[in-house]
Amino acid sequence: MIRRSIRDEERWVSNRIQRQRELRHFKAELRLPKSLTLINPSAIAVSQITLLRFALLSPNKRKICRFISIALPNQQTVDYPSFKLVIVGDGGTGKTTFVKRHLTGEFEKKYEPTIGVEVHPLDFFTNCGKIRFYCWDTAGQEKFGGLRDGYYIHGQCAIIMFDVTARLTYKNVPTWHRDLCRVCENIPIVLCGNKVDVKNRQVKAKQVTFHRKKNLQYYEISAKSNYNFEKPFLYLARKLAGDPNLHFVESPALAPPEVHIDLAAQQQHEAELAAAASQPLPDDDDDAFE
Amino acid sequence: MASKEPEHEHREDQEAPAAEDEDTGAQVAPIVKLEEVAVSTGEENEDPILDLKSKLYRFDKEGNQWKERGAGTVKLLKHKETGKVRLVMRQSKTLKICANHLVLPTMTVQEHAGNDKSCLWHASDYADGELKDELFCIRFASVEICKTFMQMFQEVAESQKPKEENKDASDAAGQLEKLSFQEKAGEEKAVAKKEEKETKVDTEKADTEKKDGEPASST
Repeated sequence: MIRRSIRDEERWVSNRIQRQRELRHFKAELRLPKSLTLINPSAIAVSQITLLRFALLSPNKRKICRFISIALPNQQTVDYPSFKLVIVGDGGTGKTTFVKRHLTGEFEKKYEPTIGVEVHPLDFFTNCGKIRFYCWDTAGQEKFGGLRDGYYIHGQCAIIMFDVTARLTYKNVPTWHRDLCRVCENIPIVLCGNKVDVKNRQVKAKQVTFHRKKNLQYYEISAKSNYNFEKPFLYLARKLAGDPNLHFVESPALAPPEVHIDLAAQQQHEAELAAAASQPLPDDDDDAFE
Repeated sequence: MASKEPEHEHREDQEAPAAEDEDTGAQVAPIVKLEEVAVSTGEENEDPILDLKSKLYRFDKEGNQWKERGAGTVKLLKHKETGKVRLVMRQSKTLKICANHLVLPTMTVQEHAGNDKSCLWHASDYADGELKDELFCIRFASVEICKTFMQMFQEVAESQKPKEENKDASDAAGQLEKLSFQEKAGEEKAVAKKEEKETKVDTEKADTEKKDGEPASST
């Protein structure tokens, strides 16, 4: 984890009123008895989140808990509705790839485990205006878990992901669900079976029943082929807004400003083009798109 | 459980998933109230002169590789008043913008060396609301469609050549003004140079195509 701009965060925490409010909120969130005292708040900035750490004291002032932490996004707020979306599931099921696919369009084949959490804002245009999901893409691998359920606090919706080509990842879904529901009660949750583009699946569609037991929505998705890739977000947006007719609409294509390309730049572009023309396309083998 | 599900066709998997859009989720209280708003595509004053299914890539210069940008519909849109043409591509389903740039006379589109269903060009892209230099490559379902696209793109680029400067030609005062402004004269020179350059590029391009043809045939 990268620690940075600690001074800024200290300043933030030293704001007494805000700190008190945060402490109260935190206690309520964890349903801590009022007799317990939270002390020693300290904060560090980690990647795109702030970690607030508290110690817990019993009424007789004994420290009964080592630091507990909560995470807050450092994101700027926006003037349109935004929601905290928590994405959980075993390592390697494709959580980061799925988020990245939505952010940039690219499909990352390389596996790099997520450390702790990565928070990405993701905007959608709907017939009810622009909305934003702050995607909390959490570590699936236990050893990189960081704060684990500390990231779930204030979660307003969630995606639980498993990999249909790895049975164990489906077996672990109940654990992810339990941990999530301990922190976030009554939030809309989508279960996603990812990698359905792969020929020999280990978990067939009919074998997926957990969502029926726990009243979750289920989608078969493929971050690779984009199959159903918009459905989880659409479902969550509809639930959060209580509008079953909400749908995605074309985002406004603003008029691009005039650009003047000088000769030198143009020459450079031509050279770059010539070089790029011989680089293969990432999915050259796969002719099916759309 | 789920005994009466209609048998959906689901690509190569025979068995049906939980009926596509069946809602098995719990009832949850909405947390926001959203009102329907007027939707603007931003394309209202333009006519589409081309509309094709495709897949778009951008070149990652650091990694020296092509990366997917989106799959959906690419359009060439001609403005009803100014006659300017831009390329707009939207991701299917989410309808987000993957590319949005003017087609300029300085642009050239060329075939991808290893894939004859795709071609590439350079543009100052405005998809994110800020101008970014990008190398784009687009892939179509067939060689023919790709050829149609390339031809149309190149024709449009040609058509955007400074004919517009003659718009005020009847206005003699306008002409005089042009002469008196050194800046403008400079601009015109630049345009002339660019045209010269383009012919050069064509020959260069032919060369690279020849070169690239060799390794391609070996794979």
